[in-house]
Amino acid sequence: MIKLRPKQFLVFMLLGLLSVALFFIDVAFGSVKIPFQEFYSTIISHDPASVWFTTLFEFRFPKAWVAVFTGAALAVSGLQMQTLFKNPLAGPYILGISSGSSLGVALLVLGFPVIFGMQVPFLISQWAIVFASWIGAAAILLLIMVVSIRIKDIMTILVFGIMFGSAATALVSVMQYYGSDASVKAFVIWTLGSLGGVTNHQLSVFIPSILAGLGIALVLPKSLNVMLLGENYARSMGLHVNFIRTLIFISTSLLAGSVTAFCGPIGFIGIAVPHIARMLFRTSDHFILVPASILIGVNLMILSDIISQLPGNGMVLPINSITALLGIPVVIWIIIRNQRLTSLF
Amino acid sequence: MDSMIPKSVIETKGLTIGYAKRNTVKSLCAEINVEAKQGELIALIGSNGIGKSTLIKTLCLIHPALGGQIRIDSKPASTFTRNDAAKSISLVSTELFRSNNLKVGDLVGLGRYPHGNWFAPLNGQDQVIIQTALSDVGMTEFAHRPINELSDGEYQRVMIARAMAQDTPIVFLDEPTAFLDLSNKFIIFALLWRLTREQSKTVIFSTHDINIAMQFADVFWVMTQKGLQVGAPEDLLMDGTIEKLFAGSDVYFDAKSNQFRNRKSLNQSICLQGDGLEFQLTKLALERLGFFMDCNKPTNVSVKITKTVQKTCWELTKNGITYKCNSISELQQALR
Repeated sequence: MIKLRPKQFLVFMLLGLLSVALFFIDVAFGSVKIPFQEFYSTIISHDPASVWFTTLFEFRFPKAWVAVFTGAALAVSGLQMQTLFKNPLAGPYILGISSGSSLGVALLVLGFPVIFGMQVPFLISQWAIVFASWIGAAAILLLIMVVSIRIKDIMTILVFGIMFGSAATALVSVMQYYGSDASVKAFVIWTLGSLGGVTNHQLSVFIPSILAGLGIALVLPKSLNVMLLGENYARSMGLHVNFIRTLIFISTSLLAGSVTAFCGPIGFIGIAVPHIARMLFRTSDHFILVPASILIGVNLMILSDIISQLPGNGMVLPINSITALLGIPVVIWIIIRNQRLTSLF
Repeated sequence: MDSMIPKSVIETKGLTIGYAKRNTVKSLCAEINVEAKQGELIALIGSNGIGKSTLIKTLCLIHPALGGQIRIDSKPASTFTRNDAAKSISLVSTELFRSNNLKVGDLVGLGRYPHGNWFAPLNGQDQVIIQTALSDVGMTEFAHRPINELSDGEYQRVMIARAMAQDTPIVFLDEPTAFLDLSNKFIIFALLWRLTREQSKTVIFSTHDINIAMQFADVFWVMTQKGLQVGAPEDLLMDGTIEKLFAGSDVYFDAKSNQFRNRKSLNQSICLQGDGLEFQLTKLALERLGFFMDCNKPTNVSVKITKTVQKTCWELTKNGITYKCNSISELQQALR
């Protein structure tokens, strides 16, 4: 049984209510203005003949759902990275895992035509792209894992992550240079991906992938708690360190890989959200931190989406810039406030 | 009589420890044949880098042995699953974990991991065990404090409570008193001693605090490259095993005073007369200055301690001249 203090219960309730409110604000106030009366009647009647039906059900709702799952996925993968590497500054973006995903997709989209002499068939392309993205994420994760066995220093690992990420990005640029016009165009379109780029059809790939990753994360809290103490302690308490690591590994690859596959690299949600969760709930218990990170991630991502469509007139700001502007101050504040970074857990 | 003999809880035969990397095998010490009995407090001593930590990890079954056998509770360790091992042996390692958010009670609760489902939260019975473990180490009132607010000594007691919550007959501790101040070293050793007596646990700890360990441990395991020498601390002192640990260094262990001493050349003889505590303390001070006590040899330096009700006086006779000193400090200055 998980015991919540009254204050923690209250914060959970507030976050839950806030996310529902933000979700509807996100749907109601898009980049194109919909009069409230018509917004309300279209949602209630669900009438395909309505003027706003397509805008709402083909674009706004899918986009809002993508924001929900993206936020949850990035937050949980960030939390898992931080505990796995015992590194409070870890996250899927900063460790280069998102760049690994890009590399995976580039290899597929740019490399496939070279090898097979044809474009990736559209029917298999959605799953193929996600799959390539997972593999790319997993490859970078594996590299960092190998390095972290030998090097324990937090900062060195981060530098390696940044290096791996940059190397992956550089490789992608080289491949773009040599790619055929058609495949480069396909790849560039992919890299421009945003929350709004995901169609209803793609959601049927995106959501199950994220749910699978979150599902694994939801059985891990007890093990993650034990992992905090360090490897020797974890083993001595009967934890199968390699098994748990593999599960974290699969979960993170699914989460960060899927997000990158559909929305492009989105930074700073993964690193900032777990810290906000720790501060709000004053705990290091993953039974609380995992759901808390999910809720905070969802809220922050929807908020970013709302901000991104503020300019109106059909303009949408790049989502990656918004999350960076929201996340970076949190990260800086965390670093300044805590001289001893290792105490952040 | 048979039932009076405590049972063996951990036993090794021809155990070799070290690291195997690709094709190279680095063995740390000769074959180890040793046995630990129920309720024993065992101190593992040996110089830095000799492999005490590796031995502890190997016996905890979290590091593979290079060869030989380990038997836990008379059963071969190879038949133990990781979870079985965690129910028999707990470890207090040197890994430090500091956190602003982790509460003492929750940290102790982590010890319940092997006893429950690997994904289910703790239940009411676990909570009772956590409370008992905290009271075992005298930290009950700290249950809701974050571990970052603990002193080093308190932290170590909490880590021992975590091992208690794991509820294992065997507890290993890797240098539990390193970084602690003197009084905390005593508190920790006394606590471990109490656990062996009151709960019949077998507690094995590595340490460099030989003089303190001597006052609590039933058995010393002295680790050298030739293997493990086992015996009562006093036996190992008598046969010179402990002496050998410090061979070649300026430090030696003085069995009579149960203290480490600096091996200095005591090149001048002095005749000291007096009795009681003053005599002992004056002797210590004179030895520090390089004198050895000898009243049989003719010497030109002598000290006589005279005590009256009001004060103690040290009469120093040096080359026929007598000085009166009112403290050891004055005596020191007069001798220099």
